[in-house]
Amino acid sequence: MRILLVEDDFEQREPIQFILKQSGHIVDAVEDGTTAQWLIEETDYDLLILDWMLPGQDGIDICKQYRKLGKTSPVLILTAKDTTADKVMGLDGGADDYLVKPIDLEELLARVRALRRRSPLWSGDRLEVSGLSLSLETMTLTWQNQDLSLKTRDFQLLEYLMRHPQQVLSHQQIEQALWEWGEEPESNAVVSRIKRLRQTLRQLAIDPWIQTIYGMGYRFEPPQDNQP
Amino acid sequence: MTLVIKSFNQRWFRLPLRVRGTLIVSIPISCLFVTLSILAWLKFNLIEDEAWVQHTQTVRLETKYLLNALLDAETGMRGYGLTRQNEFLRRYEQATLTIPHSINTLENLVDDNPEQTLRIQAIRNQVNDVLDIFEHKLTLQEDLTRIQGANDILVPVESLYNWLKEGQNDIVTTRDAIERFADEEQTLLIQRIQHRDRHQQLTFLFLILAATIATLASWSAIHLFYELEQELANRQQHLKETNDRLESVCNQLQRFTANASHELRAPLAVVLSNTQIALMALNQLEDSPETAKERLEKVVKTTKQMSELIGELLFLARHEGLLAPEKRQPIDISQLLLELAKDWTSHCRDKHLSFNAHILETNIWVEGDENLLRQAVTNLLSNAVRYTPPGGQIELRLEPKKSALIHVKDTGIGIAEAALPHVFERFYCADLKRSKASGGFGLGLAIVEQIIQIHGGTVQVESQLGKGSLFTIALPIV
Repeated sequence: MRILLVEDDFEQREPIQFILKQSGHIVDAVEDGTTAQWLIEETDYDLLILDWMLPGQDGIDICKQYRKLGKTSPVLILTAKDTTADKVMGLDGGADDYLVKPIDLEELLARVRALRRRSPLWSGDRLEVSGLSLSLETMTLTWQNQDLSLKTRDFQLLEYLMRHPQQVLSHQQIEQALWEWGEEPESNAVVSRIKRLRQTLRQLAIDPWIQTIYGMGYRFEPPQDNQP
Repeated sequence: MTLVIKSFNQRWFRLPLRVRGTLIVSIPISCLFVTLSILAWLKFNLIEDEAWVQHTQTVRLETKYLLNALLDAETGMRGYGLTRQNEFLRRYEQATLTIPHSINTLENLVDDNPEQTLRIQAIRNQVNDVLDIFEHKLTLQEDLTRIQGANDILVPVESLYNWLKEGQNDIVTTRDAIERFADEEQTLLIQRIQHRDRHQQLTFLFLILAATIATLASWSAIHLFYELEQELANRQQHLKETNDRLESVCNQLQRFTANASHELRAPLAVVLSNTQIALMALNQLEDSPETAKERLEKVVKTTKQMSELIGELLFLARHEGLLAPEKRQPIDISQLLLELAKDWTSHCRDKHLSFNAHILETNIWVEGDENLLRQAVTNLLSNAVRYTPPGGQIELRLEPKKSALIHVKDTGIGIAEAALPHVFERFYCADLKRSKASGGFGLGLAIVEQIIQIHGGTVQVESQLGKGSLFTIALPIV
């Protein structure tokens, strides 16, 4: 899942970013409202996690702006304000959920999972393509009763491919989807990521599902006869 | 002099505003009334003086008539005596008719003045004497004429004249008396005119004086009024300033609580999330050291407690005084308690406690903040659950009496009698062991009391050590 995290305090932002990444999410973490505003227009996020009190533009404003752009992904507000009136104000501003600081990271992850179920881009806790099942909770791949635990990077790539089956995905598309904002991928980064994923998938003998379309990119193509 | 003014000023400013205002208004009004009444009195005196002058003049006129009449009578009598012409006799008769009438009038006119009355009576006697003499002479002459025949006896004119002239002294005396009377009246007239003129002058002087005093009074009233207005304006300004200061203090307090909540929570957030990440990392290790895990878990637990404590303290700081009117909403308290009862039934079951709710499903309306009231009852219920050992009973009861009574009763460990008066104090714990075991901070009941107080209600506790406690919230019914 691609998440935008806006929090001005590095000390607070870093652990959240870390734990979200560890759970297999791609996290764009920024520290001010202005950058966040630019990013929500440029990128499609599956979830926004916004601190309320930010220098420049506050979290509620970003949330309102986001809704004004017609985007429907869930928004989670983090704040030190704990009165009911504040919560109501946050939720009325277009937020879907509300966590009072100091946040419990386990609770945060649970809320993120809950919100993911609500996202229009996502459905359920598993992705299924032609009998191949990917658990979004545990990052486990299941194929013909065989389980395979994926590393975060493989999981992110496979998840992206499984969401766009039978589509040709260019290097640039993959880069945009998988690399965090501000991170500059090396020229052969996509190639090496694909190579690593293929190696991993070889354990289940499904590595040929990832096809290379020369001069264009890659395609996730489940074999037709394997369909149940 | 300045001291007197100063002390007067001090006393004046110590008077209440209302009294000062009334006094200021009363200055011109009382001036007006005093002036009007004195003017009326002076005017009345003037009219009276004028009447007296008129009166005296009438007397003088009448005296003149009397003198003239007397003269007429004398000349008439004498002329008739000498010439025997009836024309003289008519004049004489006319005068004798006028004289008594004139004297009567005069006597009536001067009956207020005893001296003049005496004089007029003397004059009347003298005049009567004189008239008698006249009458006598006339009668004698006519008798003589009748006896002696018409023109037989010739009396020398000179002797006749002399005879007629007899008694002249009496007439002169009478005339003098009348003239004295007239002079007396003249003196009176002069006196009275002088008196009247003095009164006129006095009135004029008084008018000038009144005008001066009225001007001064009006000026001072206006001055005092302006002073009063200035003072009122100052007071208003002062009030406004105080109000502004209070408002800014209030805002500062609000900002402070907002900032404090932010500043206190941010470091806690860092501690909590970092510890949790470390803990998760340890959990992923195959053979993680248990002691390290335990210690990190303790850090997590304490941080969460700390966060709760901050929340409670901020809550107490935020809800001082009475509930703001805009936050007062009508709440169906029975509905609220029914909802709570539903939640707590299952919660108590988990803790092996039996939970009984006695709440009638009729609407009982109170006014306030629903979330705060829910928090208050929740605090009481969680206390009850916390201090009641498994197998015990918790009871939630709503009684609509004069006010809405909410009872929360448990069969827990109870509270010692000595501790009862203090249970609502902040950070008060009945005994240290207990609070350590339960993990509370001793703010829960303080929050309950504060919530109920800002709703204009009361909360009371009854308890017996070892038997359980009963907390009763009383909220005014709308």
